[in-house]
Order: sequence, then C-alpha cells, then structure tokens
Amino acid sequence: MPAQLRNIILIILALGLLGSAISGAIYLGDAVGETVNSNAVKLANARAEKTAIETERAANESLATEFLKENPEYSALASLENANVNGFEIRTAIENGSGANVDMESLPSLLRGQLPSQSLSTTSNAEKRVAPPRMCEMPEDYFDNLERPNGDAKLPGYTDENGYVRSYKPRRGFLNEREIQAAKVAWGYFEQFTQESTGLANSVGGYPSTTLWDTASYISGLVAAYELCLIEKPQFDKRIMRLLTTFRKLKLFRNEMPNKVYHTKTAAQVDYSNKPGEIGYSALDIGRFMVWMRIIRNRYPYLANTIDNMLLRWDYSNIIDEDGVMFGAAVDKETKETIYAQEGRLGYEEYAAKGFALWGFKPYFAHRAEPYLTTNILDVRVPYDGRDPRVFHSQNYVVTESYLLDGLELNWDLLHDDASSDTVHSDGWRAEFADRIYQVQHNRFERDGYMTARSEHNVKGPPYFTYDTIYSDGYPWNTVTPRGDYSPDHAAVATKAAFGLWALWDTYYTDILYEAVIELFDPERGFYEGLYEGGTGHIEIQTANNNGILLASLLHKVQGRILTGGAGGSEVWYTRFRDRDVRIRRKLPDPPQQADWLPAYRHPAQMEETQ
Amino acid sequence: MTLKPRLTFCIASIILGSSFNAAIAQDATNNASFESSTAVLDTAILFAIGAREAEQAIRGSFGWPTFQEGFVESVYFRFDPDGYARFSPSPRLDEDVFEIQCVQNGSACIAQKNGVEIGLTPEGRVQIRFDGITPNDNFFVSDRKSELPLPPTILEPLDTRLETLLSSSSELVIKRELEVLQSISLAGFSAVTTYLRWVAQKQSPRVFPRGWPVPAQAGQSHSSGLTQPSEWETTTNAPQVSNTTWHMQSRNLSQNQGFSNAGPVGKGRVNYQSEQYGQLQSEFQVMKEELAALRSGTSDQNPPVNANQGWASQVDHGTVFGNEIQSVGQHSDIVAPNYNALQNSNIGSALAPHNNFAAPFNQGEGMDFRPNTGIQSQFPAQRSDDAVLTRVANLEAKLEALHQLITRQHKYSGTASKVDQLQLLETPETSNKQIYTSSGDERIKVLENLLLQRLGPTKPVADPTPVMLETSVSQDRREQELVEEMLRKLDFSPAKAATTIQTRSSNPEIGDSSEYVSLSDYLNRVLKNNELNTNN
Repeated sequence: MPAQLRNIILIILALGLLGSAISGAIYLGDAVGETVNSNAVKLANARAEKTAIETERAANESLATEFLKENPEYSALASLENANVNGFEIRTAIENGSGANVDMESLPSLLRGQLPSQSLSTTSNAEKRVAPPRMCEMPEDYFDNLERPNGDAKLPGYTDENGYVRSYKPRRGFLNEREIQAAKVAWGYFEQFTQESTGLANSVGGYPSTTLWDTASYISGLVAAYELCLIEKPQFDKRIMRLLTTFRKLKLFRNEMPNKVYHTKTAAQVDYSNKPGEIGYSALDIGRFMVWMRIIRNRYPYLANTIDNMLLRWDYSNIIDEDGVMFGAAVDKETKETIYAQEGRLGYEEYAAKGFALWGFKPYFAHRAEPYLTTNILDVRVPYDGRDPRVFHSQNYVVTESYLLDGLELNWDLLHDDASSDTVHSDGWRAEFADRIYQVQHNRFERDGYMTARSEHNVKGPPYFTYDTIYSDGYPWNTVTPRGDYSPDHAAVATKAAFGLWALWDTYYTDILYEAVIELFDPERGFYEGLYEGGTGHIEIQTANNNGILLASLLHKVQGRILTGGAGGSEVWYTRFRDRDVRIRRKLPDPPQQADWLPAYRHPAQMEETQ
Repeated sequence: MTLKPRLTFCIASIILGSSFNAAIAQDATNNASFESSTAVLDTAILFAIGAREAEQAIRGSFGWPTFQEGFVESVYFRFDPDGYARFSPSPRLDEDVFEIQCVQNGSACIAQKNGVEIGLTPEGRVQIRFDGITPNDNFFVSDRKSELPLPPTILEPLDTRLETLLSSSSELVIKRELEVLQSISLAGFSAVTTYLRWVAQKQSPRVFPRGWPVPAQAGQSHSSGLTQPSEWETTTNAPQVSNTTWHMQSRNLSQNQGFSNAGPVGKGRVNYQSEQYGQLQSEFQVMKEELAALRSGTSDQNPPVNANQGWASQVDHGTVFGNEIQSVGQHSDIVAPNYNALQNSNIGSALAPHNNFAAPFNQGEGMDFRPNTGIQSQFPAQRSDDAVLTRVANLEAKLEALHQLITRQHKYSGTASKVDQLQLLETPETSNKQIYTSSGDERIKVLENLLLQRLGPTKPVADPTPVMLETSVSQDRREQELVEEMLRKLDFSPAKAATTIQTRSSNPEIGDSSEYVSLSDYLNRVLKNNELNTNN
C-alpha cells in the first residue's frame, strides 16, 4: 500500500474520531445540563415544602403552647409540644399513662375524638377479654382449660369494689344434641320470617312489623347462629350487611331517632297498626339495640365503620339529658308535637342505660337503682321501682327478662370492665338483684308447686300481650294486660325466661324448667312463647324476641359473656364530624375516660335486708 | 392451586346465598292468625261520667295504644278500640267479670261470664245463651234472700221487663229439678247491655238509659286523630271465639239473625243490603206483633200499652239506618210479653215495681238525646181516649217508613233477584191508591195484603236458643197464625176497641213523623182514619 494512501486513510479516520468525539461531547453536555436543571427544581420544591412544614409545625407548636399556657394542668402531656393534627402524640402520651385524668371538656373538640376510650384493661394493664372461638372451632378440651366458675374461691357477696360474687354458677360447656336441635329450631324462626327486601325480621310470626328491641333479638339470634356454627360467614355477612344497610337509610322519627315500629317489608315508619305513620321512639328499645351494635362491633371489627356511620345519623340530643335520664318520645294527640317523657323502670331502665354507656353516653341517673323499694315475697326481698304508677302513669313491672339480658350479654358487669373474671360481676347490685329474681321464682316452685319463669310475653287472642310479672301494682304474681286488667289465665312459663334462667343458674330447678320448654316448638316456625301455668297448653305464638333470647342463652352456655372486648384505637364514632357542629347539635359523646365510667353501687343485700 | 379453593368458595357462596334468598323471602305462611280487625270505638268518647282515656303500656310492635276505663252502675270497666271490654265489680277487673269480645269489625259483640253469653238481636233486643242446659231446667233470679222464677222466654230475646228484672237482680240461678245447676252473678248486667247497644250504635249517647251518668258532650267531640276508628286497623289477632261455645255466630253472620249488633260497621254494600233486608223483615215482624198487641189489649192481661210504655224507655235498640230505624227499633220491642207465666208463678207482685218503670224513664231529662219520634209522646200523662186512632196513625206512619226503606233497598238491590225486586217494588202508587181509596177495615186489610205481598212471609228468626223450647211450633206457623189473628182483629168494632183501650195511654200526636215516621205509626194513622170513617 503506498504511503500516501495510508496517510489519507489515517487522516480520514482521525477526522471521524474527532467528529464523534465532538458529537459525544455535545450530547453529554445537554444531558448533564438537563439533570442539573431538574435537580434545581426539585431542590427548590423541597425547600418550599420544608418551609411549609416548618411553618405548620410552628403554628401547631404555637397552638399547643397557647393551650398549655391556658391549661397548665395539661403540662403532663409533654408530647403535646410536638403535637400535630393527627394526634398520635396525644394518644401515645395517654397510653403511657400520663393523661389518665384528662378533662375532656377542656380539650379542643378537634383533639377529643382521637383519644382512645379507656377501659379496665387499658388502665390496669390487665388482659383484655377476647372473643372466644366459634363452637365448631373450639378444641375438645376447651372447657377443661377454661377458668372454672368460682374457681378463685371468692366468697359470695359484695367485693370491696362493689362487685358481686354470686352463689350460683352459670352453665358452661358444649351444646348437647337436644340443645343443638333447639338452636336450629329457634334459628328456623328467623329463616322463616326475615324479609329479604330489608333484612328485618318480623316481631311476631308472619306479621310484618318490628321494633328495635325485637331487631336486637334478631341480631342476637344471628350472632348465636354464627357462633354456634348453624350458619357460615357468607350468610352471616349477607344478613347483617343487609340489615345494617337498611338501618343506614332508615327514615327516622322527625329526623331524630328510629321510630318505635317499622314495617319489615318496606322499612317504612308505621304505627301500632302497621300503617304508615310515626309514633315516637323508645329509649329502652334503642338502648337494647345499641348493646347489640356494640357486641357485633367488638366481635367483628370489619363491621365497625358501617355501624359507626349508621349510629352517627341519629340525633341524641333529647334521648338522654345532662343528668343521665333517658327519655322516650311520643306524638301529642292534639298538637302533633313531640312529647318527651322519662322512660324505663327498675330492671329495664338500667339495662338500656348500659346500651347508651357502651357508646360513650353518660346515663348516670338511669343506671342507678334508685328510687326503688322492696317487697317480701316468699322470704325474698323483691326489688321494684319506687315511682308510684298512680303519679307517674307508668307501671313498675318486675319480670325476669331485663335481668336475664344483662346477665347473658353483659355478665352484670360495668361497661368499662373488659378484663375482670366472669365470676365477679362489677355491676354488683344488678347481679344481686338478679339472684333475688331467680330465688323468688325458685321458692314459689318449692312452696307452691308452680313452675315459674315469668316475663312479658305475647298471647294468642285478646289481650294479645301480657306482663306476666313477679310483682306489680302491689300484687305478687300479677299477670296484667297492657291496660292493667288482671289476667291470671295468661300466666305462663315463658320460654325465653326458662332458657335464660337455665343458662345463668345451674340448679335442679332450672333443669326442670329446661325439660318443660326444650321441646316446646313447632319445627317449622320456632319455639312457642310459653307454657300456660293453668295447664291449658302452650301459647301458640312464635316471636323474634323469644327465639332470639333463647339462642343467646345457648350461646352463653358455650361462650359465656356475649359482649367481648373491643379492638381499641380510634373509632369513627368518636372522630367523625369533629370539624363541624354536628356533634354538638346531636350531642354525640367523646371517648369515655376513666372519670366517665359508670360508678359501681352497692345496695343492701338480701341477707342484710332480711335481718 | 389457588383456583380450586376460590372456585369452591364461590360455589359455596352462591349456594348459601341462594338458600338465604329462598329462606329469607318466605313471608308469613300463616297470616291467618294475625288477621286485621278494625277499631270500632273511639276511646276518647266517654262511656260514662268519670271515665277517662288512657294509654296502654305497649312494649311490642302492635296493639291498641289507648283504652278507656271508668266506673258505672257499680262496676268498673275498660275497653279497647276494637270493642274488647271487661266489666267487673272489682277495680282489678279480676272477679265476676263480664268479658266482651267483638267480631266482624264490631258488628257483633258478645259478653261472656261463666258460660253465659249475652248479645243483641238484629232488633237490638238482649238475648242470653246458656251452655249445657236442658229444656227442663228452670231459671230464677235471686236477690240473695229470695228467688223468683223466670219464664222460659228468658231463652228468647228479652223484653224490657225481663231485661229490667235481670238488671236489678243479683244472681241468675239455673236449677235442674231441685238442684242448683249454676248461679251466675248479674253484677254489671245493665252496664254490659248498655255497652253492647252503645257499640252497636256507634257510641251514640241516645242508647243510655235514664239515670245513666251521661258524659259531657264536649268531651265526646274532643276526640283526637289517634283514636279515630277509621284510622285504625289493628295488627292483632281477630278475636278467637271457639266454635263450640259460639255456634250461634256463624248463623248470625250468614243469616243476619240471632246475636248481632246491627250497626253497619262493615261498609260492604252486600252487608248493607242484607242488613237492610233483615231490618225490613224485622220491621214487618214488629208491625205484626204490634197488631197482635193491639188485639191482646182487649184481654184482662197487662195492657199492652203499658208494655209499650215500658219499651218506650228502651231507645235505639239495634238500629241500622239511623233515626229512621231507631224509631222502628223502639217499636220492635213493643211486643206484649207473655207474662202469664210470671203471674201464674206468683211473681206478679215482684214484677209490679217494674211495671211502671217506663213512666219515670220517659219523663226525664234524658230525652234530650232522643229523636222526637212518636214513642216519646206515648206517656201516661198524655193519655187520650183516642188511643186506637193514634195507634192506627202510628202504624200508618210506619208503613210509610217501610216504603221508604223498600225504595232504598231497591237502590242497593244489586244482589237481589229480579223476582224479589219486582215483589219489593210493586208500584207504590198502586198500593197507596188502594190504601187511600179504601176505608175502615178494608184499608187495614189492604195494608196487610200489601205488606205480605211485598215482603212475603216473614222469615223465622233463627232459633236463638241452644235448647228446644216446649213451644216447638215453627216460626212460620206462628207467624201465619199471627197474621190470621191480625186479620180477625181487623174485623173488630173500632168503637168497642176505643172503649176498651181508652184507659191506655196513647200517642196523641205524631209530631215530626215526616222524618222519623215508622210503620206502626202509619198503620195507626190508617186505623185512626178508619175509625173516623166508621164514626161518620
């Protein structure tokens, strides 16, 4: 190859390399420039964001500082100095015990909702009561390992904390074949009489109306059916969601609280004749409903949001006053205006009050036994409401049901008690009164031979409903109609009362009651309402209340106290509407703190009274 | 690996969901036990002075929100809007209780106590039924010191005297031979019968007997919407009455006879027609009985006019069509009761105090509530020698009323056969022409023939008694005899009749009969005209 040609080729290659180098340099410069520019923007944004955060934090710190200056008693909340609007620091501070005595009234509204509710387990670091497993998921030795009732050998009577230890023990264990059959039959009522359109169950057989009380009984039946493995979760979810969805859209009595009665097919407000109309609301019914809302909220946290939002629609401004008195509502016949009247008598009143207390309300007065009196029946001082029916125009029926429900669902405990042993009933006087209610019926059987398990119940034909009481109107064993007629022919062993007594009092007498009612059913329609005392057969009516309480009794045998501890943490129930005046207008409560707990009272016990 | 469980879950969900749907969709399969019944009473309208409306303590989803309670005639009472009531001397209403249940939306109410059932006939007369008695059983009333035997007519619709006797007695004793079969307290009998009539009359205060503590009218109009019966339809069971003890009910409902409050609570047109027809039949029966009473007045028995006076105090028995029929209802009781048995049983003296009870009953202030019918003027104080003439005039007025009712029946005769309609609607012009062109006895005969032609023989009242009486003669035959007797009576001399009956009280004025004219008034008027013609 000649030397010139080789030089030319080398020159061309050199020029090519030079060009490539120049092109690469230019491209590289552009890329670097773009990156530099981008980083500059990001840096500027970051600086701006930092400035904003610092400004906000400074504002918060300023707010907190001002608050602490005005409220030096909260200096213990040291972490408030770093508080921001999400309140985690507040929660942390309180959970650490530094905020145990927070005065909720003085806290800004925005801050209150995020405070967690205080219960016995959070303040004493005791082990929180958790939901027991479903019956079909229990190991065979489940009850062998369970705390034995009265196993701690505490003597019957009041404790130093005004709790009460009963001399009787409840029945615990797996259901036997007869009881499983009974549960299936009772659940059959709800399979038969639940309306698909609304998810509501009829109160009485095929008649399409219901109350909140009876709806709560349906929910108790539904929970029991699931926990006793009669139904599985898909069906449980479908039923409960349909029901809660209906309640989410339920028309309220004058935009306040649920009407007393609803049509189960349409969920429309109806009157006592099931015609469209509004008749007011019942604080007792609503109280029982709220007990069961809390039960399913605690047991099934995935339903919490639905339940919270449903209950947040209601206006609680008139149902409980500042003294803790519960009021029902009715419509004035002349003016059509709403009339509010105190509702509830000894037994029912305290039970319903607990329902409100479970949601942070403070029904102090309603929860007290006073005013009450006692009367001696068969050597038992039976307590009854001291408000004179002639003055207050409201009867003071003494029946078993309200005491049973308190025992089955709440273990006669106070609402903040999510940790104590089941053998100690922290709402002591309720358990002690319940024992008297049992004992007087037991004594009647032993002395007079009458098998007795008294409650309110429906009857077929006039008067359609009776208060089959232990005591009312000044008479023992008084069976009266809603208008006050003495109707002894309708005295009966109420199926729900018999099952409840059987579950909570493990005695030979309740064994007899059990035998009397365990097969008292129509296999297609559920358990009959009861067995007439006079030997005229059974009451040929099936109701939601009867079958629901029966299922709750069976559930109690398997799982004990039905209300379990909550999941803890913030609740939409307490946090929503904090930025608006809705909570003030509807008197929505704040998370209960220790200072808000219902007090434990002690009343003269039966033995002391008779001495 | 993960598909299978998901598929299984989906299938399970579908199956469970479908079963849920199937189960949940089932409505009441036996709603029959919760048939609706309608409120028939407004508990805001007081039954007696001192009564009050109160609210019931309802815990469930249905029931009556109100009731009324009070004290009257020595008994306490409470009643619901559907008519269910209890009357008892005890404030707890727990002893010696009359329990009243109403069926068919209150069209028939029955009071029960210890196997005794009390109801109203379509004519508004009280009828008592006893369980487990035989034709040989005897009845007595007792004041706890002495006993008075009662006639077998106690098993038939009661006349005023018998009803008053029962009201004023303490006990009703049933004896089989010498053995006391049953002793039934009559406490509250008067209040219960008044209540039954009050319900039948849609709570009209006119049914209250003299001396009744009539509540203020203002309170009655002060009723609220809550207790408006029209607003209500109870969710409760229809009252259950056992077939064995209430065998009469079905007859009542099907034949509109026997116990039945005649109040048209049920608004069905068919019911309305059937009730009207029943009333027409009843009215005709009454007219015939009244004619029979006129005839029997010539005997030495208690003068029928006295009986008439007595019944005149019983107002508004079992009426249907308001005031028009009320007057007829009053006359429906103008039946000369056969008190021979009473007198033969030496209880005439016991009845004597009651024989004159009508007089004070009709002279009182309670008359304000009653329509100005001819009945009111039949007071002893207004006696007239022209008794026959007056009664004829009354019968004539009744006939006019009957004609009006027949015309109304025609308007509602959708279910009546054409033949029946033709019979019922035979030209009134012709009838009137026949009546007014006739005179004296002929006019009466014409009237009788017309009535028979229009209505046919009166249907016998369904045997209201649970046992067969000794008088087993069929009702048809008895009525036929009655008609024959009436026809014979029409042949009597008016002058003689006038002298015979001149001692009786009479109704000298028809007064405002244009509105409340009755059949008997009409016939009375005819007789009066007849007498005048004869005298001329």
